[in-house]
Amino acid sequence: MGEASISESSGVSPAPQAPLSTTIVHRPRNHPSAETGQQDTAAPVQELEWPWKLEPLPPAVPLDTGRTKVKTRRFTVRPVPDCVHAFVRAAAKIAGVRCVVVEDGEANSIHITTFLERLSDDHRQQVYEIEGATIRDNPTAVFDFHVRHAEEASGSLASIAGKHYYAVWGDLDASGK
Amino acid sequence: MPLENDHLTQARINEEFAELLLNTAEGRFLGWAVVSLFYAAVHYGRAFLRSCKAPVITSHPGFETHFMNVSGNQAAYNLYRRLKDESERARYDCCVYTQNEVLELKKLYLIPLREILYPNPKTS
Repeated sequence: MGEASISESSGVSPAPQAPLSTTIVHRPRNHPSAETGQQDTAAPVQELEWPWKLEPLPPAVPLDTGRTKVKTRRFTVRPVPDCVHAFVRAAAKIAGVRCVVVEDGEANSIHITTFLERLSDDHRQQVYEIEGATIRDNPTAVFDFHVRHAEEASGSLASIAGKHYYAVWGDLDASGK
Repeated sequence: MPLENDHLTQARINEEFAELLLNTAEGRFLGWAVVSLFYAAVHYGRAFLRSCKAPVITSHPGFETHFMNVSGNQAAYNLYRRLKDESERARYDCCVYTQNEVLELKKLYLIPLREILYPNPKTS
């Protein structure tokens, strides 16, 4: 939590940079708790022990805008909302969920994309049920949910919209690289 | 600001447009039929919210949250979400659809959603 700033000389606004609150959580292959799931507890999310390893992303690399003059740009860095953790924990129990990406979306919405290995009706249904439960359990939050086929997704997971927070659980790449 | 009937009219227009594309257009335009089915669902959903006297939403990303909170209907939510995801596959992931697939989406998702929200069709 807090505020970070990127200062450069005054002039033109820089191109978007990777947000500073980015986190990647790697889901280990064949982790025993990854598929079996765990009992949810009443403990605050921050105190829960994650079955996946949490590690920071490398520092954001400024984009080369081809411009020499850029003015100070500030990012307010916020943690991913707590309700997201419950969603990710539940979604991770669905076989075939390869990756979940969360970022802040339009109009203060929470933009959540679940990437599936296969777009079967059953898998989609399971994700939609968790989405519905997440909405019901968090009546003051606004969500913008998406489900995509991991193989159909084009481009990288670089965030554009995630100005305040951006997090990735799992790997979009089947090889885990 | 559009009223319930305005949204219902727009929903029907979008459905008709999907039908037009299905019946007359070349296969390569069928992705837009999928998009039209989704926007028909959007307008049935918005009409429903208006009928409930729910607050009017100002941005679409909040639609599904608002819809779920007002309707409390998981089945309707699932139908809407499927159409949203298919529409995004068509628009962003270059997914190609066959006529049968579009017909299935209409039959299995749009029509059931419409019937949940409007079991007794209104005539306007």
